[in-house]
Amino acid sequence: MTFQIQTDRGKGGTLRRKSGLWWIFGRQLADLRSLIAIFMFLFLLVMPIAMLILGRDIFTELANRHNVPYHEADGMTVVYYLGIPLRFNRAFFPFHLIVVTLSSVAVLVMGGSLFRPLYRRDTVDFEWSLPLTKSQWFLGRALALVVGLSLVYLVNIIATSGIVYVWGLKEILGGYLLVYLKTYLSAIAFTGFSLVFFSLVGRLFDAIVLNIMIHLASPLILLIMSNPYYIGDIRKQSSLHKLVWLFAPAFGTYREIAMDRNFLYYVILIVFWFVFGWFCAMKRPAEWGGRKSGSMRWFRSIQTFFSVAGGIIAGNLFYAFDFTSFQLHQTKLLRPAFIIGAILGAFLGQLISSAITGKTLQRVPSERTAKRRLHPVLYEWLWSLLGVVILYAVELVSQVI
Amino acid sequence: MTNKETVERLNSDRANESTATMNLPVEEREAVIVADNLSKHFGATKALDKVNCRIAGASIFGLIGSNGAGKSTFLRLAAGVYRPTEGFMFYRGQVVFDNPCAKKDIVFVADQPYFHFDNLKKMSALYRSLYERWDQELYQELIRIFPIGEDQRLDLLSKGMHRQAALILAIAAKPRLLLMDEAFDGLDPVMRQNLKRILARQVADDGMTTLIASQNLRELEDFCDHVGLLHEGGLLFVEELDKLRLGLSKAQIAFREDVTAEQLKSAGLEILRFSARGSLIEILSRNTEAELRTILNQMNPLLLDVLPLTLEEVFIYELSRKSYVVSELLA
Amino acid sequence: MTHNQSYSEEQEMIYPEVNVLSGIPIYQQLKNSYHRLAALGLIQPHEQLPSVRQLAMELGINPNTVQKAYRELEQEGLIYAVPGRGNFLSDSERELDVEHEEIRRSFRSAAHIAWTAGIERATLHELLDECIDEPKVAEPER
Repeated sequence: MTFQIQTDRGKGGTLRRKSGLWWIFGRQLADLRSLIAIFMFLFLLVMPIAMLILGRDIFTELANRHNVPYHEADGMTVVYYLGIPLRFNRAFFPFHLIVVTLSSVAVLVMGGSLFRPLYRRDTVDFEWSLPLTKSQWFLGRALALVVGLSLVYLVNIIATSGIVYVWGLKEILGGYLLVYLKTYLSAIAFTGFSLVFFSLVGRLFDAIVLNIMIHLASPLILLIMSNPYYIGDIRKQSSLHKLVWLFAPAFGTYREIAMDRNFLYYVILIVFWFVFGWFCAMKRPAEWGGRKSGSMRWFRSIQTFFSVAGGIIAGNLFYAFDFTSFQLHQTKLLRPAFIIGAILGAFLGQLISSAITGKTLQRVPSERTAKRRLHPVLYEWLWSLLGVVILYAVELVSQVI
Repeated sequence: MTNKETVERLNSDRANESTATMNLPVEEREAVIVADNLSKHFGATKALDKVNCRIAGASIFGLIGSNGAGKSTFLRLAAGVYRPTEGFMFYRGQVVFDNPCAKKDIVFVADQPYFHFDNLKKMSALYRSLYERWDQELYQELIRIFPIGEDQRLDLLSKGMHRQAALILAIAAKPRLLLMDEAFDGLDPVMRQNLKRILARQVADDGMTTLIASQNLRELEDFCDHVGLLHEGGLLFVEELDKLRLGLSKAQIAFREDVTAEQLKSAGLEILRFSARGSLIEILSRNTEAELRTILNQMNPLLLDVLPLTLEEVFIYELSRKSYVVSELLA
Repeated sequence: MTHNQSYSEEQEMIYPEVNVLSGIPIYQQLKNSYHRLAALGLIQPHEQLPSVRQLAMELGINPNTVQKAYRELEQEGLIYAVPGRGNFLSDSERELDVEHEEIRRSFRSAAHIAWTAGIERATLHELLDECIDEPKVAEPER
């Protein structure tokens, strides 16, 4: 690639700003090409190829068994998904679920591969001493990730559409394309969400594990906070539920099948996560490369989340096994079983979050004062207590809403 | 104007500029690096604490200190890898951090170089696309001088060869400021001499400023014109190397009669150390050689032998003056 | 600026020698070397000296050191600079004064030692002759 160099030497740096971004983008995309090829193949395998293996006849039969709009009469089965009837032909349904799962894996694997240089001292030395800005590095990478993912999604849908069209089933395609698009957009939102983790942690392991942990914690909280039926039925979900779901965007890719959302919703979500991710990347100092995330200040807020999650889960668990109580839901919070469970769970959640990112309770050297010797233990308890407090607040609020 | 013509014009402008620079004594030249109350903290650790420093153009500056003194931190601040916690790190008047305008003139050779691609050919293409002053002919010359095949797999090479490869890429990019973490470590004597020659040429021709961080005084002693000593994050002093040596003299003297230290002191010598064995006196004084000779010759000595001091001895006395235990300082 | 000249290309000029291990500052060694070369007539008056660049490259030393040596030699009158052309050896006789002074000091020192030790003039002359006939080294040994 040759660049036009202006004769004004003073501006020698700024002229590169735009071309620097594309330089990085090009390189990252090139580095990603084998992973893109792999996921392209995998996507093709689980959808178009699987469909081909299934065969035209079986697929057509599956498709005909469910028409859009759906009829409850005529013995045709209606597929319900998350409480509402499926918005597209059920023949696609199992393939789509697998594709969606694969998509989340692709985001983490491709993202991890692209962001790996952030976590090593020698790569950080190299990259940050080059005449490129942090902004360019982040945007170049983010863009490469999005483009890579988009290519995978695109090739898959083209192949699938081609097959469906050739099989003469083009009328069922329309509904599915819409859902596929929405799923794709929520996958991009999940990408943005993951970028935040990549920017904030010290090691790749931490980025991925934390991401997964938060995804596990959110629905568990919801599951326990409310009637399990509520978690499935979208119609009955409160604003608080929706707020918690925002923190598990990977699950969004599953839920989008059912939702009937405005495109603006996706745009806002994508913009929000990418901007936040960019912001975190700008704040990130070079010396975090290779550091244990547990020692970083922002980590405290995440730990509270774990405490709350742990507390809710354990508290409700203990309460569920408390056979002495047949009280109403409202007084659950005051039952000793719940309280004990909540405190225990909060503490355990706190410990687990410390452990997975490397900062466990360490033996403090004896030359420190007695006050200091208590410090790590006291610290953990205080944060757990904070978790319990928040837990109670959340429970109260959820009963009101 | 084509790309090539512009680069050539930039090069000839730079050559004229560097000739003008070289004609000035080092102290009078424009500062290329200015550290202004520079501090870098990693949590509670103070890697650098309020460092003030000025490094002039076309000079070869040695940054000396033991492990953990802050040399690598200083280099990374100059390279724009770290952001200062307090204070500023300027390159020719601009802040270095996150500033491609400054970084395009700066290349950093780390102690463990990283190669994105696994051979020199691809790496040179990478550098070529990022550094507009990249000189392909110089690159070809360098791969002959530090013999590494362009297609050789870099990850299979030894540590010394890694350094050679990194140096080839760094020098061919024709930076204005070359930052090296341990320049000579791992290089065999022939390569060391080659490196010195190439650096000398680039400094003379191109006005390149070189900053070398090292624990090895011996290497730097012959090559740097200025040195700075870092200890536990503080810059103890920055001085022209020759002035450091000039400021201290060691001599063996013999007089016809007995002479005491007080007599020498009253004659005008700043005696730091005085030892007499029989009629042979050995002194260490804070005077230049010329002063020493002038004063002593007036006393008509039988024997006057001025001995040169190594940099290590100079440091020992400089620092014992500041009452540091030197064994901690020089690893 | 060209890179056609390899650093190892032969020059027709005389290059001073420098011993980096001797402990004597390099710029001082360069000065001494040039004084010696001039005194021995190995460089002729108005002959061009190697440029800063050439000397630094040839010896693998800091060009600023070379520059410093040249500047001081210029101040001492041994050489003169022509802007844009380089440095040249002066034709004045003055530089020999420095050498004379050095030699005088050494003789004075030897004479005093001889006087103290009771060594006779003739023996001293013999010793001097022996020293002159000795093979020469570039720098005095430490």
